[in-house]
Amino acid sequence: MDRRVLSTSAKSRRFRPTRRLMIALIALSLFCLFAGVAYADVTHIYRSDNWGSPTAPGGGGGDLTVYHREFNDACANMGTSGWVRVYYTKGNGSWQLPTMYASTLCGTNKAHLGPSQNYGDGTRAVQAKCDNYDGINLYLACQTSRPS
Amino acid sequence: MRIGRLKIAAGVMIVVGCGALVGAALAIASLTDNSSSVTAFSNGSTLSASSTADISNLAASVTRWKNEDSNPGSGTPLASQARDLITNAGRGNDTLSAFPTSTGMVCYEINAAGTCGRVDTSTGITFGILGGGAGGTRVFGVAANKVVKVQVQVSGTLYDAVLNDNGFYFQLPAGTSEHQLQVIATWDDGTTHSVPGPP
Repeated sequence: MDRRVLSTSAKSRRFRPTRRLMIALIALSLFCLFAGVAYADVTHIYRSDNWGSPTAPGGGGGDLTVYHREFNDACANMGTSGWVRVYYTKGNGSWQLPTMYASTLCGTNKAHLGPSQNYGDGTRAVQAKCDNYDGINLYLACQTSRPS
Repeated sequence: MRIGRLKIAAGVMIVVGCGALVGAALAIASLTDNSSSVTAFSNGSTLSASSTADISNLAASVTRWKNEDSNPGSGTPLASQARDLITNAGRGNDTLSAFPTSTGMVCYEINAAGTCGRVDTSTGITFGILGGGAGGTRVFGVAANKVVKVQVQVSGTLYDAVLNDNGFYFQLPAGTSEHQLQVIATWDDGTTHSVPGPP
């Protein structure tokens, strides 16, 4: 009887470090998961036809929160195609790179820019902008991604 | 006698039904198969490792567009068919890559900047413009098989674009603007088809 108790107690001591290690690993995994979710980019609409007003040539919108981007998309949301452009700028507006122009029609295609780190001077600090590059008024729909 | 007629009728119905199914399948295939108008997607060209991430970025966007209620037309990206169409082009040493979608569109990009369009149209071409940076301003896009030459008219002067594996590329001369340019496609029947750029 005593031997069994001693034996169980010894086993318990032997496994305690392993159990602690497992708890630490689980805690670390949960931390990484929540940190990843918190950092993940979210799609952000920064100019939309839902606002109800068309944009004159040259007019547009921007998401001026300075973070890196995974994309910057825009389209003309009306019955016919319209030329739009999307571009990134540095936080202080010192550069405007690159600029993608396309004849677009929401429901068919958009002008698309890839990750901001693909362009410019290597910095990831950028603002996303879009505008009407046509000669007529357009309803614009523009989206970008940024950390939540 | 009656059983024999029933067998014949059933046989005819099966044949007609199978024919309808095959016809529908072919019709769907013709809508989703770009090989008839863009052979570059099936001619053994390759996609470089450096283009893979850029193609993935554009394909992810096309998927997002498709999932938006207002954007059903772009279709599902068929990124596994992506190809480099032109490499080492222009001052930016650009690579033009492209892939088809399930609705018959073609999506194309340089450095993950691009768009999608159709080449089974009255012009046979689709294009976008990338501006800024050391690479300058470039007109780039995709042409149908029947397009044998692509030219860009800038400020009244006509320039030949590079045309390779259904892709085309043109670097605008320094000091010229992307406004009021025209892209002109010459088909294999000798006809020309013009598409205006931004006004």
